[in-house]
Amino acid sequence: MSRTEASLHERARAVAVSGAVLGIVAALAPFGLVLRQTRIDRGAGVSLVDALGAWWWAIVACWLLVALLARSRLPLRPRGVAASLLSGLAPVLALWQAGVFAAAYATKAGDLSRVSLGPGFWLTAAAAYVAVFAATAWLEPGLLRAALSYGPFAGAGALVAGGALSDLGILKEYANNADAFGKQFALHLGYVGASVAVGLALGLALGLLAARRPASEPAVFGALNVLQVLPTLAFIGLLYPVLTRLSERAPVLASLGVRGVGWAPVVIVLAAYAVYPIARNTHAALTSLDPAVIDAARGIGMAPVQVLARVELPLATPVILAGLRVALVQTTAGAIIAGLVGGGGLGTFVFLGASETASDLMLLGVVPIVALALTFDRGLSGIETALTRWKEPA
Amino acid sequence: MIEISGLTKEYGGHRAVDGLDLTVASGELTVLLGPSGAGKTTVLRCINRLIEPTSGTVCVEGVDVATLDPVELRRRMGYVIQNVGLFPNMTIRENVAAVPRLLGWDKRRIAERIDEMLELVGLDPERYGGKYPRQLSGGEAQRVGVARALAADPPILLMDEPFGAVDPLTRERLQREMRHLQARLRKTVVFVTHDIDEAVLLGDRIALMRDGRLEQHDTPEALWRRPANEFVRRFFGENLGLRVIIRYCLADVRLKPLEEGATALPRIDAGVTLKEALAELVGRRARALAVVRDGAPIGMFDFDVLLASLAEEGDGACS
Repeated sequence: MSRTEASLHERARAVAVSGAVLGIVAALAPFGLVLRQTRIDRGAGVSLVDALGAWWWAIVACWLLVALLARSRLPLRPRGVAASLLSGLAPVLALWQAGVFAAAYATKAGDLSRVSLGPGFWLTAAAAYVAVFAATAWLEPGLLRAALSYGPFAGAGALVAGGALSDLGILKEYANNADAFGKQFALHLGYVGASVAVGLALGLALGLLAARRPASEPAVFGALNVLQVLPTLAFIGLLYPVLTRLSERAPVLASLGVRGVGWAPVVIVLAAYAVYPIARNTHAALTSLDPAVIDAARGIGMAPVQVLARVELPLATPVILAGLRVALVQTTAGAIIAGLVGGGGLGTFVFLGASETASDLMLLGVVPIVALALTFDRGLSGIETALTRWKEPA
Repeated sequence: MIEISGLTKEYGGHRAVDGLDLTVASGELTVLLGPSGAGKTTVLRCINRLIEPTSGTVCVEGVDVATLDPVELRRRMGYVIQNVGLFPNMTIRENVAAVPRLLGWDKRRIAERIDEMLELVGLDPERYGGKYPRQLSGGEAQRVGVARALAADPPILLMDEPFGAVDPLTRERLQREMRHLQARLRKTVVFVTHDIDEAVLLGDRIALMRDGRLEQHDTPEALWRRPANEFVRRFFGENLGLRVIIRYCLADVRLKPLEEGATALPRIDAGVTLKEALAELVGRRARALAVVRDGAPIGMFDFDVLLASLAEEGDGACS
């Protein structure tokens, strides 16, 4: 074990303890769940202590054990397994019991009433994220570590699928919007996919250009910087007259649905934002390669294209993927804007919920976006590790 | 054969190479030697057109390289550099296979060739083939560098301070192996170094450069016996003679017949170099050594033998 690894393991103790403390604070917070008479009511907070009764003690016990394990002298593996299991268990227990509480509340307060997950619950989830992150650092990368990292998500998914949560506000909103949800979810993914694909192609090309022709670097990144700092809505506003004019002049575009609002400005704006991190990282990766390796590649008779494809790009891949990851996560969140300019997507629920002050409807948009962003982030870093086996030391 | 004539390379008015003429005979190893900034590497890189000369020509086997496709040209020349430049994203096998793959060899032939090359440079293909460059020591990486350069069996090998970045013990071992390898393969080699010992040990001929010009091009022994000018004499210093005798073996010199009492003398194997034999005399404070071959004494070595052997110019055949 290297010294850096050992110090990482030590620091993870403190992080896990902070997670556990945060978890206990969250369990005591006055807004664990929010109770409403109707879906647009402001509602009243109730702490998890009051809502969950005896189960509250089970959740606090989880956190206390996590803190004890983090301070213990137990070997890494059992310590990591136990602490990540318990950290993951706490929010799943809280979620399950919130569902039970919601069912009881619904029979008491009537069909119009709602129970929403409040800040106290989300804080519990955040605490679990921190604690699981720290505890899995004590484990070797592999199947066990992946299972423990994603276990809590699977648990939440199972509760949703099993109907245990169907009396929670967010799932009642889902039940009312089930058809629209599937469509908007797919549309949201479509925006992300299309924008990032365009961003990747342009980012690679511009990053390569800036690396190969240093004279072009200030122009390339100057332009991208301007796009990057332009606020989304202002950007869409600037595009509006241009796209409107274009669709009037070119019926082909109009028949494809290119208008001042709708999908076209959304994809253009998101793609423009996605270019920057990819171009930046491509440029940085290509210009920081070991010159001896490039010299050797040319010297043994690789043509310029071969040097790029067989040596430069493979070596730059981890850094480029990191840029792609930033672009994906950023675009997943950014695509909310489509809901505001007639483009649909998960943002539809967010903005509709905001206008109706129906916070559960907003959550119906926000929760899947966060889940998507986390999935992309983890998924790409997994791919990164898999593609860079050559980086491992002896 | 490589013929360089009138080679000049200017960088913003500064002449890195200044009208250089040099011929490297086939099957010979020529060392380009000189202080830093003498233009050695520039000359080497003009041969495979990593650098285009300002004027002058480089001909390989009678063909001006300027008329050839540089990529094709480089595939016919092995290339080894100081920082090795192994591809970190490829396994050792893939690194060695790089040029044969570029040349479109079929897979079986490549696989066989990789094993052959790794064994040639003293690495077990089973053990090293699947590793990545990051997992090798400096010396191992440099061996792989040589294997990669030799993989497509190019007639010409260009080496730019190939052993410059490894520790002294490893460097010495690599130099000896290089000498054995070259004795077997007889490639046409251009070898850049600023290490005089390395130049004397490996070079059939040494081309001593200063400020982009050639000062003298000759065998190591001739450089010692007949330096062309004061710069050559000063560059090599007084102890060049001591260095040159590393090129001779005890087996090459006329030993004294065994005298009575020779059995009491310290013994030394006939395969060692004169330099090692001299070191043995000094180290053991002995007047003479008994030279043995296959365990049987064949003669005696002392200072007189050494002096007599230096009386005539030889060809330095000991490997």
